[in-house]
Amino acid sequence: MDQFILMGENISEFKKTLERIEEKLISAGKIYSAIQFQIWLVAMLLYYIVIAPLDTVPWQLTMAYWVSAFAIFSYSSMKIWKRMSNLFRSYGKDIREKPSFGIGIFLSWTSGAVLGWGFIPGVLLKMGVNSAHAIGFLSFISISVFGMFITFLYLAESLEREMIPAFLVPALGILTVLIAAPEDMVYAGFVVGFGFSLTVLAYLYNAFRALG
Amino acid sequence: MFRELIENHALGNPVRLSIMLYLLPRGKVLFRELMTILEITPGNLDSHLKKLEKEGYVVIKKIIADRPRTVIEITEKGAEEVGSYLRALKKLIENLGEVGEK
Repeated sequence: MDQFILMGENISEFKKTLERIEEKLISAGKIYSAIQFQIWLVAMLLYYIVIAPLDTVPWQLTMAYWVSAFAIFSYSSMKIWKRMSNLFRSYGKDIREKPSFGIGIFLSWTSGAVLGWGFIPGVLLKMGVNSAHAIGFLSFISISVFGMFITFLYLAESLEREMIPAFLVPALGILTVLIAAPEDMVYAGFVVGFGFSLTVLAYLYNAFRALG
Repeated sequence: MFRELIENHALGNPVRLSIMLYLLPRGKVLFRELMTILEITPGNLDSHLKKLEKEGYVVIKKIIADRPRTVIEITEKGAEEVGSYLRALKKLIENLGEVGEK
């Protein structure tokens, strides 16, 4: 009888250990996602610091800054993504073997860029260049992040609730952008920053919650 | 099934399973770091890493920074294997629990 009780205790202890391991792995995945969004925030906020002392912002500076920022972001994303895909693989979800997943992420950002930086500002040019670009910027972020959210949901079978503020807040910002004229582009930046901060916060909160 | 998981599997050894679990969220670690975390001798760690490398679960790389260092990196196969090993263990524990309840 004692032997059976001891066995039962050992089993429940072993089960708890396995659960703790699982929780730590989930938590690590959430922290990596938070880092991804935080890198975007750092790049965006640094841009505002760089342009703050300038009366006019030369387009060459903006272009050079964002090309470099994209290069750094892509490099760090690749590093983080490699670790995240290993975590996904350990959950039994091999997203790297699904080329459609990578295509989904790529299409999200390219469609966001085409609509947000090309089509939408072009259509709204009558509202003024600044407002058109601010709405374009908010559209770019909300379309791209929403696309990522859908890609994760359908192709990785992972409902990333934490991502919702990162696309919903900029989408709602489109409705209110005109109240901030003529500083609507700065306003758009803060709206995106706020949305991304909420996403980072949600990922960190859930990472610690997963640890119990 | 239990015997297969514990005795015949490369991850059946607690040190090797600990190495893989430490590596999984980090991607890669230094040999020295693993040695400190696991509190084992270099020779002992080396023999476990060789076994994991032979199975294709890790890659051992020598890098020269300010001084030579050994970096251990988890492979895709290793990540997949440690995940399926944990799931198998969990399933086994659940089955044992059900038997215990009966």
